Amino acid sequence: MIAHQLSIFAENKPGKLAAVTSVLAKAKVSIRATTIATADTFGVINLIVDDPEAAQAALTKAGMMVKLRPVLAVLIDDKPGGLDRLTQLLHKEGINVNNAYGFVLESREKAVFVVDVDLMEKAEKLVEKNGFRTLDTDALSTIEPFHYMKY
Amino acid sequence: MMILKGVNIFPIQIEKKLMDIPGVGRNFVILLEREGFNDLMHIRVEVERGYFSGELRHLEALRRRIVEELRSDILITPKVDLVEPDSLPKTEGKAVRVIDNREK
Repeated sequence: MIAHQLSIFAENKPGKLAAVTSVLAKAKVSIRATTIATADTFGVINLIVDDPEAAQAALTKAGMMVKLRPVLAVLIDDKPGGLDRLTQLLHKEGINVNNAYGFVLESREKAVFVVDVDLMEKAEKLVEKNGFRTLDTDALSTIEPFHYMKY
Repeated sequence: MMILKGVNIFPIQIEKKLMDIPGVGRNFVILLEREGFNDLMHIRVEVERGYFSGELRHLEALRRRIVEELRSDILITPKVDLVEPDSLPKTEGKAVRVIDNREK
């Protein structure tokens, strides 16, 4: 299954991230994971949110340049070697990862690793064939990250 | 016309070159600065909304292309920054924006 990541163009200067989070807060959009890639004076803010389309509409209305990009959100084990199993598989099949980041769903149990790859469909089929579960946007928005009660 | 490092440059040359590059938006600003004994040209260019793919490498490729095309045309290597659409003052007709911050 394919999930969607919001990518937002931002100049590299104070207040840009705050402007994004302020719009999302008002639109009642919840952020699951985020990364920022910067090239000197500008960059791209990547977000996994519970409602990507509502977020895109709200950010576009606020004048921002936003794109919804397909990504693979792969469920992995939150234990040593959990991520390695996935990356070795992608490496073996020659799939290049352009961007990736992860977040814990349930401590020491499950984590989600988000990958942005060139060969999206090939990668999707490959990981599913090898026993990984991929999450789509609906699945990502209904899961409850991090069970604090276990601490 | 402006003179930079002894080279005469017409803003319209820069405008023409920029507008031919896919991904360049409507507006831009040319800033002239002096660093030590060096004149620097710094251009802030709006990105066209439809060009944005969400990938940083495409933006970086656009920035590099702007630098290369201008260097081959005006013989000066500008510093180029990409900015959001509609974030710069509108360029209307012939009024190309040049801001000269060099000490006279």
